[in-house]
Amino acid sequence: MTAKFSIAFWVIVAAQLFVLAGIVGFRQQVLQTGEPIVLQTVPVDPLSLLQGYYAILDYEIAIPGGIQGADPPLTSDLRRYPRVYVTLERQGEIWQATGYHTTRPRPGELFITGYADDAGRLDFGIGTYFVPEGTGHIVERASDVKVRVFVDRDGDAVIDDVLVDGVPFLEAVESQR
Amino acid sequence: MAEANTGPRPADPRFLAGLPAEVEHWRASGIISGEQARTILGSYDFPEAAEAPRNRLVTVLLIMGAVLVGLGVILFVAANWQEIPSGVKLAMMFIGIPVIYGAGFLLRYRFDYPRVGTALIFLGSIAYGAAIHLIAQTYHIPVNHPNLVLYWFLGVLPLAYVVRSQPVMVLALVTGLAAVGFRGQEWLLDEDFIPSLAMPLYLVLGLALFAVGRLHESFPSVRLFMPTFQLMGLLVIFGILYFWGFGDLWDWTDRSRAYSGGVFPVTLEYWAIAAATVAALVGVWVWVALHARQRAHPLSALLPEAAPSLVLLLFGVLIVFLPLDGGTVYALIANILYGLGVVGLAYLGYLRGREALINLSIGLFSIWIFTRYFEYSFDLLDRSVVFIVAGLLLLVGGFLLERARRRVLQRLRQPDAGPEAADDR
Repeated sequence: MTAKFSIAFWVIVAAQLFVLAGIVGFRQQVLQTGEPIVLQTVPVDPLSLLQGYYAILDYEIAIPGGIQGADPPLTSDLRRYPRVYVTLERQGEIWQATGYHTTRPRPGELFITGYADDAGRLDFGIGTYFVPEGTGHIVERASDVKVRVFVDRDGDAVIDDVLVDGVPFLEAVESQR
Repeated sequence: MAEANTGPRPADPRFLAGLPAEVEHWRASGIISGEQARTILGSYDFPEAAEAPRNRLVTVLLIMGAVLVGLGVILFVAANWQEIPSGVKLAMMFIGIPVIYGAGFLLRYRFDYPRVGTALIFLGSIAYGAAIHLIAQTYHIPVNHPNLVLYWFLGVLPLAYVVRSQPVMVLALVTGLAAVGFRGQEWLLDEDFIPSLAMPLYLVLGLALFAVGRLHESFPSVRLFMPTFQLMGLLVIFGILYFWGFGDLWDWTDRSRAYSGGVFPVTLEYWAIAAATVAALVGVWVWVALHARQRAHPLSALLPEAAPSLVLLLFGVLIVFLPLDGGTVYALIANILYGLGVVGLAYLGYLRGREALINLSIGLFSIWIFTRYFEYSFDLLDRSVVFIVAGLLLLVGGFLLERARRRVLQRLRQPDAGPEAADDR
């Protein structure tokens, strides 16, 4: 075993840890510096083999049919656009879409960045919420599910919490035990 | 005898297991002297080889143990157990991964426990993937995020080369193929037909893996990965042909074409990846031909492996660019190619002296014939004719192979037979 080999081995191990730290760091940075918003969703409850139980969160601002408030006007096939910026404004306790843009909004405007999925809806990278084993029904049976999200200056979003009938998810889990 | 000066060398453990008795028989019969017997036995890495079956058992047990612990870690992540806060779980991963790797490193390279050390490094590679998914779970990154498995693959592939571990390489190749699948979701424009759209790309990837395996054979430092790459490539290739052999699959594909106006509904990235893989595939085979030992006949080095690859590649191109009404013709071609491929694989194993390929061909044949026997609703009489004809063809092929083997052995037994005779195989 040579010194060169040892270095190569530990450089790869360090690179793996760096990748892990990078994923954590990016998400933490959004949570630390981003703007908190609350979005309205409609969830369902499947299972991931690698990551356990999760709820799929479908957002109202993901424009299910037709595009309103697009500037410039967008066609119905959103896959034509590499990304769509959705500007947001608080209306009561929920943040609603005020416009859909293919160019980045002006600095100071609050927006979230979405990518069109195959179904023609916008995916904001916050469509999944992982829940402890056996607790998926709490989200599934709730009459109102909102999601508290942090959004940074680039429109990248990270889920902070899910509000089940107005109660943070883990509190809802505790109250049902 | 230049070989005698190169020191003990490794060889097929099964060959070496029987060698001492055989050499003793030669010595007792007066074919060789006692000195020559010692020279023959001394020219092989015999003590290691004699332990080979036991070592293999130890390796298998350790790798199975590592896989079980790794799966346990993944399930622990999946359970999303709330008694331990996410931050503590992440810290455990950040500490646990270097500790597992470190223990493996020390056991393998410092304390002469190479198999336990390798198993721990393999476990570290699984733990790395589990950590990626734990982080994804902690921050609610979507399950189908295209980069998660890609990060796993990119972290494990260089490790496999550095530690020269086949289990780690298998993990790297599996995650690499999975990473293409996850990214591929973005390249396929018609989500109802993802399996049939993804298969041509996977066929090309399988062919490329097989070719890259052959490339590894040319470099002594990475030669040990040749069977790993080729086995993985073959499994992918035969897996695709197996599925293409189902007539029903083509109904989906036809509907997909109709839906997309006759154009294969994939993005530019799909074409780019496929074109790059085909270019790499052709490049590897050209390289192999140019660097073949038989420089006078470079094509002869290519024919047994590259020619079938070319045929399969053309089949893939045909499927992509020429949609057929009904598509059952393609199912028939896929079945013919699968059958020919199985026979060709057995022949290749015979040609290269690799029993593993022959065993693999038997396994692939069994799965295929079992499936097709029950799938097609021919009349019993028609089915009987097909099976009898196919069976007779195999019997004739087996007879020809057996006769060729006997001729080679006879030539080797002739007193003036030199290394050229052996090379004729």
